Amino acid sequence: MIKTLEQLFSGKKTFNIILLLCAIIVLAFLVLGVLLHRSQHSLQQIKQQQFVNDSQKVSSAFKGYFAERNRDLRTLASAQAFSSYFHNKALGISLDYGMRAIISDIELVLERFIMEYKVQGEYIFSEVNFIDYKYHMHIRAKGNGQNSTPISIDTITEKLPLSPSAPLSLQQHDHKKELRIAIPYFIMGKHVGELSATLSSSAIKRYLLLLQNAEKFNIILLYNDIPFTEILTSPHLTYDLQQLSAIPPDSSLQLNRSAKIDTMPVPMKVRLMPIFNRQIVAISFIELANLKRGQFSDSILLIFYGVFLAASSSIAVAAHVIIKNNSLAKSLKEAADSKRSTAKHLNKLQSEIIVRRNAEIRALNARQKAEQLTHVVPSAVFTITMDRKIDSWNKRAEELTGYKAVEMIGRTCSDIFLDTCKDECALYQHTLTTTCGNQHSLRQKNGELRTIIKNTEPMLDGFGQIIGLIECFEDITDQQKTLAALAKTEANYRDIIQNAQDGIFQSTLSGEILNANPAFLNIFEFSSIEEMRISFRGFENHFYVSKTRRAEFVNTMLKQRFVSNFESEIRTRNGRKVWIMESARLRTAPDGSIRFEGFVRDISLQKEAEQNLISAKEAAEAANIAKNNFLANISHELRTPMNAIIGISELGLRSETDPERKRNMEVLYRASSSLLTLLNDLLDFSAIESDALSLKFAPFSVTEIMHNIRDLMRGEAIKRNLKFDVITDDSIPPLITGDKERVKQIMVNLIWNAFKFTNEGGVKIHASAYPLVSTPIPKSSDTPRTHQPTEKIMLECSVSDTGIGIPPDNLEEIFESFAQLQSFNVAPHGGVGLGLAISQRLAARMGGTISVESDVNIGSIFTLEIPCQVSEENAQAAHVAFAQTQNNVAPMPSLNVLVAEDNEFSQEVLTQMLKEDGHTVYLAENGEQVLEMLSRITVDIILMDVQMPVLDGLETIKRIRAGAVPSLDVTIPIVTISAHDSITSKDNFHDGEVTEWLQKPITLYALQQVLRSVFTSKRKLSTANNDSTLPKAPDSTTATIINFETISEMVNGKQNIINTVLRTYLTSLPASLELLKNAFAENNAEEIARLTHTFKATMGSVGAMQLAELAQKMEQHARNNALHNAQALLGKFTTRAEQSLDEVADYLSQQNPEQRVS
Amino acid sequence: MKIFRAGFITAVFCVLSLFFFCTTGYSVTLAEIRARGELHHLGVPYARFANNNADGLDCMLMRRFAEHLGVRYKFVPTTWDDAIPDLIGIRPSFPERDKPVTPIRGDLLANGLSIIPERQRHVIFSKPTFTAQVWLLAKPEADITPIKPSGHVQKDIEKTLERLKGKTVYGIQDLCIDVHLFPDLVRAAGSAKNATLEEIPQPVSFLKSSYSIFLMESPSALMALGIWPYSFKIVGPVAKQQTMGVAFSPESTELKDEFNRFFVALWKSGEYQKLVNCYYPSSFHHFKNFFMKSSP
Repeated sequence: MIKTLEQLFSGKKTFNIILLLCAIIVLAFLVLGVLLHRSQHSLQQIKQQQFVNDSQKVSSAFKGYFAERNRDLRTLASAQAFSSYFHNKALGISLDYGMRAIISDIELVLERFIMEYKVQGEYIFSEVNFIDYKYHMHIRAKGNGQNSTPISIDTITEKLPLSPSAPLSLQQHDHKKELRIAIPYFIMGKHVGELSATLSSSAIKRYLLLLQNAEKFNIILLYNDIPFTEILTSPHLTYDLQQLSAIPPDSSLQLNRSAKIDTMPVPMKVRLMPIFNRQIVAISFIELANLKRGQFSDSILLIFYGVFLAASSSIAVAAHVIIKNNSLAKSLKEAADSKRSTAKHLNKLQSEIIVRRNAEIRALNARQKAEQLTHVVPSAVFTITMDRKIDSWNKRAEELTGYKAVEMIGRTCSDIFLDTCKDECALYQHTLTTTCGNQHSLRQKNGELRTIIKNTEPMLDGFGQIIGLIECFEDITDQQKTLAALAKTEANYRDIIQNAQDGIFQSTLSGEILNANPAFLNIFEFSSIEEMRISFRGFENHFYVSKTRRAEFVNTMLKQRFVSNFESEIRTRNGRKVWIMESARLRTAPDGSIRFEGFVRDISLQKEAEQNLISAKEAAEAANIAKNNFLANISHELRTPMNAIIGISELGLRSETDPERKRNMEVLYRASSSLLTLLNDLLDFSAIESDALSLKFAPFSVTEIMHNIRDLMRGEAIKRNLKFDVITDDSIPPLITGDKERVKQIMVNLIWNAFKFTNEGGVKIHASAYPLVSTPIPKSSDTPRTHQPTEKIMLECSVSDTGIGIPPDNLEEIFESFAQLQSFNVAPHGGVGLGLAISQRLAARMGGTISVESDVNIGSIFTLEIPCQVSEENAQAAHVAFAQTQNNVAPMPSLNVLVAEDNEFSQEVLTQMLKEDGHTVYLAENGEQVLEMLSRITVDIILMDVQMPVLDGLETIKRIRAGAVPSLDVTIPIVTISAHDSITSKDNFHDGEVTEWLQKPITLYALQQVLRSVFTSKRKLSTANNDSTLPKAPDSTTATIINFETISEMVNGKQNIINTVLRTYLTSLPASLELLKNAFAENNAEEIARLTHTFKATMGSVGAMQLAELAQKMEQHARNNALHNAQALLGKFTTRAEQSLDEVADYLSQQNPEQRVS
Repeated sequence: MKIFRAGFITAVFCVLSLFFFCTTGYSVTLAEIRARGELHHLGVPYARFANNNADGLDCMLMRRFAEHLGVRYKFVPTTWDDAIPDLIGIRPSFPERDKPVTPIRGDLLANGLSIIPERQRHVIFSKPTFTAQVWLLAKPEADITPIKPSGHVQKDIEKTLERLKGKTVYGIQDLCIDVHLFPDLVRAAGSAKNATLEEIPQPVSFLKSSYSIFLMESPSALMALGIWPYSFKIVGPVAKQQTMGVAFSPESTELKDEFNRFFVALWKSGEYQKLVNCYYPSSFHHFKNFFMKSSP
């Protein structure tokens, strides 16, 4: 047995597990069968018990149901309506006057009673009755099953006396038997009536059905053995009531023939339960088949056991087969193992054969390679045997020695090598040492002696025994010669570097000096490179005086890979400062590091010379500027008295009648006029030379200029009896942009010159234009060309005369300063020769030229060419617009104006301007004064300077708008005045805070426009634009500091205002300048900013734009706390401001004395 | 010319002012109620017709009417004394020439108001909304027995009045059970007196009072019968069946007509009967003939 088991489990592990599982399953089947039998029995017992329990439960439930209904009826009896009925009836209340309502109440109570009690929508009470024995009143409410059906109520007055009903009875209607319960009604202890109710059988049925579990059974309720409610599980079920009710109470019996389904007797389990004093009993019965439902049938169990047996036998057969298979598998495995070991040995043998064969092939290859190697090696190779016989000799050896291999093989090596190599030869020493790089001499076959370098290596056999030598040699005779030549060349270069005058160096990126020549060391005053390296290690940039210079040098090198003429000041070892110039290049060393290589030259002497030259140049330039300034100043100073002289002489000339004295006056007038012209030329020339002349570009009409010139010069031509023609070509655009005054000045100069040098004949002026980009307009063209706006054109004006002419050699000289042709008789012509020089410089400043063609005694042609731009404006339109602007000015009503302005000068200007238009002016100097005055006086408008002391304009406006002055309308118009840029000024305010704004300097016209726009919004001036409200750009070319024209424009030429304004300027400026100087002395930046801001406005108002610009710059510097920059401008500003005082004084003195007094 | 024109305008203004201010009637139009967006229901808190919580048969009826008009509903409580003045703006109890003008507080008056000629002189009534009869009631111990109905009201009245001989009967002044409204009763009874509203605020208050024999309108009596049985007995009728209705200012005919239209529709739909059965089930059953008519 044990053996069999061993055989069984000696097979594969998987088989073992399967076999074991099968055995377990068979056992499990066995256990399952036993358990199945037990559970079958238990289930049946449980079902029977459940039936008994359910039956008992149903009987108890019905008992409770019955008791509950009795309680319901008693509750109904307690309703007030019944007692009310009997009481009121007792009081004699009649049906017509009261009782009908009580009866209605009872009907309602009964109706509600039926409706109130329901089970699953079914009325529990099918009928309820109230009976009054005394008055024979019977009220009946009747429901018909479902709650949806109405309840019928009958009130009957019975004729016969009614007797009390039994408490429990069976009521039968239409084959329907129902239980009826009744309770007596007592009033004052008297039995006066009753309440009865009929229990609906269908409601009972529904109630009992609710109590049943999943296993339904049959129930019959009997009253005195009469069934009134039955619940049957099958519609085809019939039963024998007698048999069923015959069984003892509270016991369960099996009856086989008491019930039938479709005439077939069905065995039943029956139980009888008394409910109410044996008057009511409940019989429950269930089919036996139902009790067994859910159990396995016998046939199923039989099949189960059959399967079990079949499985057991299958497992036994399988076990037997497995045992057989296992023994067979074992013998097969042994055979396979022996076969596998034989194959393994065979494989090993084959691999060894392959290895050996490969080794032989490799050895053969190596041998062939070695032989080939000796032939291809670029050195001479030969081998010797132990008896020092050469046994191989390669081709290189043949080349070097001239001996062929056949000649050398078999010979000893000492036959060819002159010096013996016994001492080194391994064969002699019997050692296995290797020699390398030994020099020897050999004689070639042709007898030439050569120097070689030789390596020797012993040859060993497989057991490490020496079997010969392999030797290799190379001819180094030529190489030795080359090295000797190189050494000589290097010595030469070294000498050059060592003796060079400039320092030559090689350094690293970090500044470490790698190599340097003695000159380099000399410049830095070091004796050796090491010394210099040690001294500067870690402080490489210390020899530069400027700390950043080294970084600049390195940056330039890295960026450009070279520097040239890099000048720096360095400090030598001894602390001496030397100027050097470096030129170097960047080189990448073989190791990848960066090297700087270059030379350094000591340029101290050169630098010193250069500095001297610059100083000399600056001194010369300063002297020139001083000269020009002096010239300008002196000319200006001279002109003032000259004006007086000319004026007086002119007056004298007009009034003088004595011919002699008149002639004298004429001489005086001419002399002074010519002197004045000279001075004016000098001023112009000085301005040009000192580069102070700037041009004023504006649209102008060439035709108009030519007309002016013609009118101006015509008198002179007539006086000189010369023909004078002015021709303006149609090719000239109506308006071009350029400096009109300068063009006119040049033309007048040229024409005046022509007059001077022409004694007879005439002078002809011709003006034309041609485009600069396209082809010139043919002069013969009949139709004038139309120019596009902004097109570039060349204005060409020629002055041709029939005068004395200029020799060709002198044509260049005539444009030089103070040059007049001395060879000519210039005395009658006068002049100092500045006219042409000025004209040419002016033309050059405008980008143009003056050319001249001349023939002696025939005449000259001076041609002025100036590039100009065609103006975008239309001359006619501009004229019309100007005229309209003038016409649209409407009269203004008289206003009360509060002027808030801290600048005394500006106060005066604004006051005069406003008074001129008949307005009443109130003055305030700061914001606080404004607020204080507004609480006292009523004004129509406020003109507010933005920048004021104590409380500035911005804050004041905000306070006014916020209602700081209670009596003031917060929407009062406020016009701000500011010297700031207009946009910036506007951005300082929120919408609606500021009504209008004015920019300083203020013109009378701009002021009038603003006031009009504020007060007559309906009559808006259509032609007014932003430009019209702004002061025109001042003419910066004016030689004077004050531009009186600007003031005149600002106040619409009101001379009395101009005078008042200028007088205020004259008196207030010195004090203000003093304040400014003090502020600078105290370094008070805030005060400087405030004062310069005031100056900016003041200067702008008198047209001194240069001074205004200077003040603005100083203000900016002061606000940036760059007081030193502001200080630099102060001197220039005060000088010019003081000059302006003289100009104003002159101007005022020229005015009518009466005006001054007024 | 200007003075004349100013004078003329002043005169016209004065005439118009007199016309407007001296008009004795007050009318409310549907348009006004709709513009106002609210129906003002005047009512004396009385039995189950109306109470201060705006609940009761008439309150529910007026709530429905307000819904019908598409406006909000507002109950304006008043007193028996002020009910009609609050509706018409005039206190009619004063002699004709001295009628004081009182503020108008409501658009209509409804709280089980009996339609009696005294009231019809001052207000106009809607179609009858309710019916009732004034009955003679007595405490159980009173020496008076209920009549046996003869089937004829008049005979029953006579029988009832006969039983009052030598007895003192009480009513409530200014209500429908004011003894002065029943001259036969005054004549037949030994004594007929009115209690004041302060003393007997509601007819059912008689049950708790010391008075033995008193008048009560049928809705209150029937309501009390179910609640307090054996506390009184109904002797018999003292007058024929009366009707009750909603009172309007004499000029508010438009409103009255609208209400009548609404009420007829509500009656025919059976909804009104449900309301009556809810608040006065006893009266509904007792006067089934009235309430089960096809139209009011």
